[in-house]
Amino acid sequence: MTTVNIILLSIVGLLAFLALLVLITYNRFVRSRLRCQEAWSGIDVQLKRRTSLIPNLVEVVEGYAVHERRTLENVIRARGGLQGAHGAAQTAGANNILSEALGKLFAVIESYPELKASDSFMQLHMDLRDVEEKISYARQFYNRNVLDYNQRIRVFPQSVIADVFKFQPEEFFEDTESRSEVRVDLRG
Amino acid sequence: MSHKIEKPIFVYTRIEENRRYVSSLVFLFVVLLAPAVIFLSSQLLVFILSLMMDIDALEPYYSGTRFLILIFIVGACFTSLVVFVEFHTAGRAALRGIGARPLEHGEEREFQRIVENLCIGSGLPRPVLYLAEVATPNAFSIGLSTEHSKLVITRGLLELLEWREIEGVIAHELSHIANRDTRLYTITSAMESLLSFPWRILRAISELFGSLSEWLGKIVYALGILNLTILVISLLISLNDPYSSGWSINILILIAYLILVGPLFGLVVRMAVARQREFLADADAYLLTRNPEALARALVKIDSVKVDKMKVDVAMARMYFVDPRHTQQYTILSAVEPYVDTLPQNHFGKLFYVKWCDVIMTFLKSIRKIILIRLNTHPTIYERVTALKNMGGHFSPQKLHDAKEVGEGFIYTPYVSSSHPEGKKHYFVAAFHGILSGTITTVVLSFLMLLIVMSPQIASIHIHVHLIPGVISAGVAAYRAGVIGSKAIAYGIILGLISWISIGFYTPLGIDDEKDSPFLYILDQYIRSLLEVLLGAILGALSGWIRFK
Repeated sequence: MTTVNIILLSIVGLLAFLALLVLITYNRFVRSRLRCQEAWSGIDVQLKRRTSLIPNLVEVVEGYAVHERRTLENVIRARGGLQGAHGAAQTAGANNILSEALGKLFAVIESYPELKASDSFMQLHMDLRDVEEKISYARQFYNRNVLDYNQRIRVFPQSVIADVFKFQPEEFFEDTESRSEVRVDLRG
Repeated sequence: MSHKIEKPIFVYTRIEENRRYVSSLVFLFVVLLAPAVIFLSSQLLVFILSLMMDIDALEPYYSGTRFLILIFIVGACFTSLVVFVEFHTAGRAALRGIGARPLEHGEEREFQRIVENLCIGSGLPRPVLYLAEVATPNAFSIGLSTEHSKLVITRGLLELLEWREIEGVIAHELSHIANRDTRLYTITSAMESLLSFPWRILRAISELFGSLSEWLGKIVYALGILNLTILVISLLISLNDPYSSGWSINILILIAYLILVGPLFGLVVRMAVARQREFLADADAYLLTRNPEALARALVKIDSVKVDKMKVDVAMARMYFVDPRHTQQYTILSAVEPYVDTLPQNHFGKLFYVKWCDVIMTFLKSIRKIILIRLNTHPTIYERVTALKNMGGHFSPQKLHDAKEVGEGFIYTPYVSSSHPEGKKHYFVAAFHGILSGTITTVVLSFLMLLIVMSPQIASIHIHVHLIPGVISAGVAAYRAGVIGSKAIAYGIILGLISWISIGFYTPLGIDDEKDSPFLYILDQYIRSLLEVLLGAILGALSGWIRFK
């Protein structure tokens, strides 16, 4: 056992250790990204529920409020926008537009007491509120996962590995407070 | 202990941490205690055998190594049976203990909706929901995994709190499930109740009699303690006796272990689980609901309620939202100041103002706590509200004050359930199960006895084997009637002994010596055994009925 051998052995050991570290970090990244995707599917389910409720709502409202075509069209368009949206940020924007259009619709409906009192409308209203609440919870869970993932791939020594394997940061699903610019852009 | 949550640590890392903690705890439990427990239970087994048979006849077998090994193995089996039963029924025992029933689909819809939403927010599978018709507002969650977790709330909680506040409570419980605290608590409470087994049994029996009348329970408790003392003293005296010292020392060690050392280890287990986990769950609930004020209000309301305390096993207390044994302990000062105005920013700041009398008082109080074995499982409400405030919650003193008044003015109106799921029939079924299992055991044992009588070498052994069917039938009946875990085993042993004592000396055929006619003797034993089974089953079912009526 010469000195050269010892040095060689320790270098090999070090390299093996580094490779192991890289492996572990890579696996962590993958796991974390998968969690994000799973959390996203949680949002997606609720969004689909929301879009599927809109046609019923439009149908019910049309029967009572004949003069509100424009508001209804806005809602339908916003729904289409949500269905066509891709990626977290865009979907969030589209979802916010839909929320706004719905808000306007409900404001208008205030002047139709018969509609407000009808059973089918009340049920729909409750369902929509429930879905909105669920979306906000799902969003919270998703954002927390994204935060964790983004932190992992950006912190220094690990960020090198993330760069090598091309881990991209995920987008947040932004909440309603930060949507104002989006709203102005897409409105006309 | 600092209550500050420096940064939101991600839930997954905490689960990892917790998993390591649980496995090391279980490992320690097994390594440190299992050999002792196995040794002692094998000693117990020899003791029981000596009761059932003539020990002198066993002498040639008893002295051999093979016999010792056999006894050791049987002892290990018995221990693992008890541990298994305890671990797997600890959760259900807590459910039965307060009489919770599963919620049906459309029932308490708003509550179910809250749980659903919060589960989405925390990424958890929806737990099975239970409701207990109990006045004390409280909640707890149990289960060994997130998929099989159960969340229990009391009717008092639903009546007392508003929806936002209930949301805070549920979020706290879900955080326990998410952090795997539920598993930790379930396992530790099972460990604790195992380790303090004799005391638990004594308490269970005195409770059993206490539900007939209160003073009877107390008398039984006192008698139990007196009995144990006399036992220990007589054993100490018999140490001088040259003929019995070998036995006495073993039994003395056994008793000392069961009564003193075991419960002490139980205390260690209880202290091993940091109260910090409650703060953590509060912090997570805060993150999940973003409404620390509602949680604080819920805490204050629950704390200031004036209804009866819940009867909860000490070992189970940890699992609850607030310590169920300590209702209204911390609001004796009565003013609302302890909650709001004097909330210190840092708990350690207080140390500099401590006077000597305070130090002495704290010392005395902690001694009292240790003597009463009433170590806190939860931080005080005051501490928890303070911690919530330190995490950055902004709440108005007025609202907490209002919450306190609401809590103090709370009057529970019992909810009249439309359907009663379990009637008296339940106990008949329990007795039937007891009789069935006891009879099967009797048949098997009488075959064994037939073999024993036929073989000439061991024919002289005087046998009281028919103790076993009585024990089994009483145990099964008690289990079916709702007594769960190692308690059911203990009930079986005690009630089986009672029926053995009351019937064991009755000889229906008038033959008490197997030498006259071995087969008639066995028939005699057979009938006696069946009678015992009958009595044991009735006693077992009755014990369940008395306990849960």
